Amino acid sequence: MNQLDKIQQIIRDVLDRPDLEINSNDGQETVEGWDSLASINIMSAVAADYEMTFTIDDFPKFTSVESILSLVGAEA
Amino acid sequence: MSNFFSYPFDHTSLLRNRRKIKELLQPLMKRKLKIYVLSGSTVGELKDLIPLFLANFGIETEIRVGEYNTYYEDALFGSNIKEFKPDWVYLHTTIKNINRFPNLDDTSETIDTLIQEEYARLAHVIEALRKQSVKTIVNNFELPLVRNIGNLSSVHPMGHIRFINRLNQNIGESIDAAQGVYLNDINYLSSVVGLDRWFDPNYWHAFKYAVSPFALPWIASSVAATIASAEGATKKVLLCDLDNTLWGGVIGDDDKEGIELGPETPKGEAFQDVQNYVKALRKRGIALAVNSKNDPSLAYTGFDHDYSVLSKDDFSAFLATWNPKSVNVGEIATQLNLGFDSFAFIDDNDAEISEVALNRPEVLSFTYASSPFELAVQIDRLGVFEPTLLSAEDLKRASYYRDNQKREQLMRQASSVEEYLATLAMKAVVAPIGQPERERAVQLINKTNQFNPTTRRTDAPELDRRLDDREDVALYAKLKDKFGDNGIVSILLAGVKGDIAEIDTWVMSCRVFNRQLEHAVFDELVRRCKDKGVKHIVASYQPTEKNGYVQDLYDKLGFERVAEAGDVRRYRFDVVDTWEELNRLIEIEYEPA
Repeated sequence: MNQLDKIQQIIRDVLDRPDLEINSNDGQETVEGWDSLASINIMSAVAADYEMTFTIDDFPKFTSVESILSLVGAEA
Repeated sequence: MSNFFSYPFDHTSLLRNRRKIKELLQPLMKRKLKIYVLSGSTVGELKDLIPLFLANFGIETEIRVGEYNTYYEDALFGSNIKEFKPDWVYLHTTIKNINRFPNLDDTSETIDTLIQEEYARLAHVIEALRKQSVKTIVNNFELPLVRNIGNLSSVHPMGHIRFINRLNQNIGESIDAAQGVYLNDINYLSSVVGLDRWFDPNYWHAFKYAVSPFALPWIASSVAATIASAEGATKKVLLCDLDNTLWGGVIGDDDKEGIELGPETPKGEAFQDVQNYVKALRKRGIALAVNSKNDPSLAYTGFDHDYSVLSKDDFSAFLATWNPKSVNVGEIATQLNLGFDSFAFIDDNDAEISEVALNRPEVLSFTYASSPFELAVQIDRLGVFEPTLLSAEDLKRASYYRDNQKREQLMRQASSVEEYLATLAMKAVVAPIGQPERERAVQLINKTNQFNPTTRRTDAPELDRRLDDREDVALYAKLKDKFGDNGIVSILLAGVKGDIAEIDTWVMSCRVFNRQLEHAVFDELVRRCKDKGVKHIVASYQPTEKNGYVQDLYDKLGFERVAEAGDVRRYRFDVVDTWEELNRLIEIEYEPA
């Protein structure tokens, strides 16, 4: 599974939208239901899946797919 | 189901799989409740987690959450609760809702006033909800992440730990289930999780989570258990496996003296603690039942062990049979006249847990990984037997079940045994005993009493001699399934003279009874006999107090009874060209030569 697929699966699970198609240009503005609680949950799930810890400074990056990918070390 | 709710709870797994969990549990839903959460800080994922844990008790939930940190106005002046008409309200407050902590220059009168004010705010909310006849769950307070004056914080009148402890004592005294007011003890839950993980400054400062998302499942589980208990949906009976669950070892093989129980070994201590926990449940009205694959006459004897805390009279039903455990569950339900959803089940064996889960999904089942005391921890953390009141009736209930039980022991065979075995994906190795297997072979031959038609024993030198004999057949069998490897579980020794082979030793561990492993072992014997030009296989069965399990073994394998001398039965099996393998369910793996 490539990194984009992995992030897509996390966003699908968190938003409870199993059919959602995500690309690297997506983010809070383009995906319905991606509110701030969803961002927090995406952050928790990414932290668990990638065994990473995030700080307050990282939080704003959980509003777009591109910045999430760069946080986990994958090129968008 | 139990894997999603396995302990310690996994916040992200519960959250990401919430749709799947709900779909799996949907068929078991018995009722629907409406719950309103009053917010003292970010409620977040509790909105999803409380319904999941309630679903595990068969309760479907419609949940609504009040505006961020409006619990007081919402309860006293708002219209949300009036309109929604919830069955339950959960008041999600924490120390972040405390207006002011003591300062070091405060007088003790000021502290008393602070405590009264804090308590009064909660009391107003409780009173407002009581007037609307809504059952209410309130939190006490967790301890602060950092202390104002170190260890003195618990001692000094201005110490913050002491302040919280005094507040909690006040809250505790206002809890009254008869008035519809229940406690959610976050002071305890936060110490279970550990304050460092319970409170995450990042989540507080960024999103106003007073409890970090990681710890929310502990709150959800506790709130759900309280609701389930008050609604009568918690469990009523604990079904107990015996061997390696209530004591260490196998009663049928090790005898009363041989099982591990009591202070002499670490494992024995652990099993005794499990018994202490189970006995305490029994004393507060939880009925107990034995659900064991065991010889009924031997199973009882474990409770005569000197260190057995439980006695056989503690059990309201006692099913020790060779039937699938789900069949026993059905029988216990009939005897006690209760539904399957009243049962929790503990067993050391994942395969048994899975068999029960497959056929009786309403039963909540628990096993352990390393220490048997994990059984008690899981039961506690999921609130399986959560009480909200302790009544005189509770304390009598267990004996009530016992008196009503029908004592008949039904040995019904389930029609779905084959189906169950097929789901286990069993794989076996059946091969000649070599040096690596020698030690285990001797041990198994000498300690097995149940699957042992001759009760012939051996020792290492004798076994070595037989392994050197090119004519004799000496086989071992290993069995694994999708839950794990059982290791070497059967040994068969047959002496060969000319065209006759005699099975003088055949043993099998009771861990793998009723798996049809005997078919695979016997097939291999026949195959080797054919290669050697053996025409007849002979065997005997000599009854003992413990080997009733194999009294029909040879009849079932297709032997003919040819003689009876005293109580010994002699059997013969003719090896013919048209012979067909018996084994259908186990995939045989051949070891590399």
